Parts: sequence; structure tokens; C-alpha cells
Amino acid sequence: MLADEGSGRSWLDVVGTLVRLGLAAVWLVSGSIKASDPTQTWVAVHAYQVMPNSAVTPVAALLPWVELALGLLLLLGVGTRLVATLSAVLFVVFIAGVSQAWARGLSIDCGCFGGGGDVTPEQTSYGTELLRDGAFLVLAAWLIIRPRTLFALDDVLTRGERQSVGGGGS
Amino acid sequence: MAAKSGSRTAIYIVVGVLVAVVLVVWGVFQFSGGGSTTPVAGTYTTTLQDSVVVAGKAAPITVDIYEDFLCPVCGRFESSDGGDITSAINAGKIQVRYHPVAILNRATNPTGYSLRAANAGVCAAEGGVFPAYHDKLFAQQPSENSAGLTDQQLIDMGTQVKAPATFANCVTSGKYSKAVTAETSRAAKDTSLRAAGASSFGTPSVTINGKRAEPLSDGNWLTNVTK
Repeated sequence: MLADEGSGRSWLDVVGTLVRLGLAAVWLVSGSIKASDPTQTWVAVHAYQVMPNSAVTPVAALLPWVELALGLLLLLGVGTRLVATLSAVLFVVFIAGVSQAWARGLSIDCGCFGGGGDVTPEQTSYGTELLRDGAFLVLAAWLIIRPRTLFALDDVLTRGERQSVGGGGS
Repeated sequence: MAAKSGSRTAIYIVVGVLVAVVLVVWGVFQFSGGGSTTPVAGTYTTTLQDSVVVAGKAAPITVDIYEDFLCPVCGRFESSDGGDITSAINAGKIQVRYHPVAILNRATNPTGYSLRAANAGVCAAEGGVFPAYHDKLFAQQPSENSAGLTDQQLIDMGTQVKAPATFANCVTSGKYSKAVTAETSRAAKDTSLRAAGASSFGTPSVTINGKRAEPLSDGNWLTNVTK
């Protein structure tokens, strides 16, 4: 009984670790693509037409680096549950953004130069994008519900706290 | 218990990292924004070739700029690079051929703001107030899916920059609309203006001595040719 539970736990730990690293990869890849082409990022944020230009500029400047930070924290496994929660919030925002663009019938192609026409196909891929973001949201949800993973700095940090508490007691 | 709720140290680290990211980006943003948004008044004169506004004296470097006054990226390009371009024209380092085009006519309701704005831009060149009016068009740039600016608003902006009396009629009659439309279709067919891999013409498009430049991804495009 106990042995079964133990092996179940470690199996879930492996899945959780893959989920954590997968989500880290998502953020690191999307963040670095966005960071490498600020104008394209600005165009992309602007295309949602939910903010005035004065707000688009700081949001577009910040987004890539926030994504990279979340990716790095997940990769290291620092504050996994908190980072997963923040990731989930971002995914919900993205899903809301895409949904409103779809619902409003926005043509994401503004007719302006930007990233070699990357924005044009988005017109027809709202459904796929929502599915993908939904899948990422599931990954984040896993880590919120069960943040325990292998090779996470969280273990070291928690152990450190326990030790210091124990040390104080003795 | 500590494992379940997450380590306190980890939470501090996460919050610290995110605050640091915000502060660094904000700092860089303030720094670069402060430098590039300094308005530079254009002191150059312009001549007209159909609807093409030739800005400044003949120079070894000719820069062609195709822009739609409704295009959001053109607005962003103007706010990031407009001052530097104006300075370079003022200093006689480059001659800029501004091509006001209308590719976003469908993006306003009623349609056609792009064309009316481009026409007004050319009218301003005719009236000798292009540099200031060009700044105005972008400073007051309406957003896509809006009504755009009315002819009256376009005329009022001209009055603010001391356009001559003929300006109003030039705007309302659409004096240069035909020329702008012709220039737009010429540009749309000119494959040398397209971005690598792009199947159509977009704005802003910039060429240096006839060769396409990528000012949006290359921040040093102008200093590289003027230094």
C-alpha cells in the first residue's frame, strides 16, 4: 500500500517535471522571439486593439522579458506554484485577447509592414491559437494543483528553511 | 507544510525577479524614449513631383519613405526615427522623398481617411508647411476602425501650422487624390519595395539610394549611412 503510493507519487513527479520544463520552454521560446523583434511584438500587441497606443508601447516592451523571466524561474523550479499561477493568468489574458479579436471580427492584418506578413495567417488560425493556449493553461493548472517536481530549486529552498527552523529549535 | 504552500524564499525570489524585470524595462524605456522623442522642427524646404514630397536639398544619399498616415507602425516609426530623419534632412546629409500612400482606405469608417490624409500631406507641401504638418498628422493619428479625422480637422491642423488660404480648398477638393492613388498602385506593383519574403507592399517602406532598408529592425539604419 505504502509502496504503491510511493511509486505513484514519483511517477507523478516525473510528469510534473516534464510539465514544468515544457512550460518553461514555451515561455523561453515565445519570450525570446518577442524580445528579438520589438517592432513585431508592438504590432502584435497593437493588433488586438484593446489598448491605446500609449499603453501598447510599454506592454509590448515588457511582455517578452516577463515571459523570459517566467520561463527561467520554471526552468530552475523556483516558486513553481506561484509562477504557474502567474502563467495561468497570462494565458487567460491571451485567450481573452484572441477571443475578443475573433468575436469582433478583427482583421489582424493591419496592412502595415511587420515581420514578413506573420500576422496575416492569424486571421484564419484563431481556433488553433485558442486550443494551444488552452493546452498551455492545462500545463499551468497541473503545476498549480501539484507543484511538486524533480530537480527543482524549490526543494533546496524549502530544505534550507526547514533546517534553519530546526536549528533554531535545538 | 512549507512544501505545500511553496517556500517563502522562493516567493520572494519570484516577486523580486519580476519587479527587477519591470524596473529594468521601465528604465531602458525611459532612457531610450527620452532620447528619441525629442521633437525636431524641420527647417528644410520641399518640392513636389506629382504626389511625391521631395524634402531638402539634393544630397549624396536619397531616402525614399513610403507611409500611410493611418498606419500604426508608420506612427511608431515616426515617433522613434522621425526626429533623426528631420535632423539629417536639416543638416543636408540626406534628401528624403516622402511618398504619402493610401493602402488603408478600408480601415476607417467611413472609408478613405488614408487617402484624404495623404492628399492633405501633399497639400501641406504645396503650401510650404510640410515638415510641421507631417508631424501633426502623426501626432494626431487616429486609430484604425475609427472615423479618422474629418476634412475640417485636417484643415484646422493646417491652420495651426500656418498653411496658406489655398490649403483648405486643396484638402476638400482632394487635389492630389488622383496622384496619391496612382503612386500607391505604382508602389504596390514595385517588387523592390517589398520586405524579403513578403508577397505584398506594406508601410512603412524605406529605401536608401533605391535599395530597401529595414529601419524597423535595424536601429542604426540612418546613422550607418550618414556617419
